[in-house]
Amino acid sequence: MNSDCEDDILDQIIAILRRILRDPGIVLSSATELKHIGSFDSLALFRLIAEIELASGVELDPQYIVPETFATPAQIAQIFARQIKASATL
Amino acid sequence: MFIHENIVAAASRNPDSLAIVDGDDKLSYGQLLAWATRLAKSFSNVLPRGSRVALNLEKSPAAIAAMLGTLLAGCAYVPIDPANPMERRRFILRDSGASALVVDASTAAEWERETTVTAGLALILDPNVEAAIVERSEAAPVTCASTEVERSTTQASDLAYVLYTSGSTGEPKGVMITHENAAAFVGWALDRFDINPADHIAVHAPLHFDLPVLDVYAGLARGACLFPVRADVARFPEGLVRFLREKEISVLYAVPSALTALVSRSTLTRAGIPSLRLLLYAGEEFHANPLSRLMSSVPQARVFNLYGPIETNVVAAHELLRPPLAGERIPLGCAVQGTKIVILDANGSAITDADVQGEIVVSGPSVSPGYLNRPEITRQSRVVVCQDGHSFPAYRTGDFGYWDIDGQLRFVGRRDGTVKTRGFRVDLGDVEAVILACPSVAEAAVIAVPHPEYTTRLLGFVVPIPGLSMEESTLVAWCRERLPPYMIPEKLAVREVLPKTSTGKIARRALLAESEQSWP
Repeated sequence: MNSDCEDDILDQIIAILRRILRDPGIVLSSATELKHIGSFDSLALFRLIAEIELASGVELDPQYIVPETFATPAQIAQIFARQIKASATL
Repeated sequence: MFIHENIVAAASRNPDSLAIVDGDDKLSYGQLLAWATRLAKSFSNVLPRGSRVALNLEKSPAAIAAMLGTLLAGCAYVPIDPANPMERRRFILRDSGASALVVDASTAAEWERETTVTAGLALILDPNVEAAIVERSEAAPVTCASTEVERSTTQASDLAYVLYTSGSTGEPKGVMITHENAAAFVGWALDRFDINPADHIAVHAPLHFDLPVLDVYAGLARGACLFPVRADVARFPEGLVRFLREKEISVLYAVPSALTALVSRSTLTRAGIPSLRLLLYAGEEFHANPLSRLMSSVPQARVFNLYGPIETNVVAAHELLRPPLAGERIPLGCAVQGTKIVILDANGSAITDADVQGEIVVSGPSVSPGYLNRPEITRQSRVVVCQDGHSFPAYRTGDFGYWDIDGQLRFVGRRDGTVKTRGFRVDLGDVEAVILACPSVAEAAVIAVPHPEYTTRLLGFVVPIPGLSMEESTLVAWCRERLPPYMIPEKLAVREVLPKTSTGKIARRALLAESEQSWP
């Protein structure tokens, strides 16, 4: 089960992706496979990371900037939630 | 030797050595040559010598086999980026005059619907289906004697390949590269860099780009092993670093934008890339801070800045012997062997004094004869240089620069609307022309805003025809159907009017200032 924090982040990620991808035709859900979205290129990736970092106040550890993390919005949310939790315990 | 002949020679020396590794897929030199030869025979059966073959293929062993097969057949290849929208791919297919189209599993379905465009083609081929399975399943290594293609007699002036780049009119233009051009460049690279059979070379840039020419043709000429970097790995900085470490890559040639991303968004600075011994970059200026951090992360690697537009191949090189200091600008270096670089003043006279700026023009065997089907643009890009009592034709790069007191070429800027973004060359006029072709657009301007990681961000401003409304998403959709992703402005702002200068031109500086405030 997702934590509230993860659900909030997931909602934010989907909203940011909608804004960045600028394509009303793309249906985004937690399980959308981002590799099949042609406009999710390196520029979109860096904008997404920057905007989530700004919203969450947590910088994504570079070790997570790999295809697996960005497979779906749910995967991204899970990693960010973990990072936020880790930073809160410091 | 011509570029494909080098590979044939390497395959005859070591047919069992690994030529390409792509995931679990491993291809020896003998297998690569057999595959390419089979494709060459398919081409030779139906295409006259000198035909052009369009390759709409993902970066893969099949794509490299198809490049080599085309050359072995005495034809020229035209790589078409699978990430391009179909309209642009259709244009390139038509404009190039290609007689054959090679597709793969990822692109075949898109072309099946294009019956009108592909109707006149002599051959539509999937190299995996037509050639790979049969050849590569052979148990015995293929001997080179059985892989000779009868039509392989190549002339220096024959076209080897055509690379399409951004034009200024909304349509890309094809840069013709002859066998002489390619051989001059690859020959220089072979002399300059000690690439050897033990090397693992990452093929990082897309194949429709000019950087992989060095990876593929210099690498395979020396018996090295190529590791194509798939787009879905290259996009993620840590994914790429992980790939470079796992594959023990020793040679990497990439654009500064990609390398800067490794510095800022991967574990490169923590653990480096121990196997890397040669790092080459080109395509745009590398800022001192990320370059310094990069070099400190791979202190064992020799680092070179290479310079040359797609029309000339690499014409200047500079080895960095230490990480740059803060704010230091890296020289383009000295002219490579066989190339003449001249700085011209506004009157077309050669500048010989140090520190005097002018346009960089280039002459030499690696310089393209011009643009395919574009005699007027070709003519405009040429100049006759008079120097030391001699006159010779040269290519106008459109780059401004100067010779410093140490005799090193230095870059200053561009004379036209061409910019670099993420290593790609983009003519802003090309993007504007596409936006202006949208029926509801009255006026458009695209500007490039400097960015520390991507070199520049593209931002667009659009005025609709009076009485018509317009949404950014509509414009983005219009652009997506016509432009590759890197050419689509990050923002497309709809305005009632655009600011103008006193002469009535669009005030781009005002737009730049506005964008820096609105979209920092």
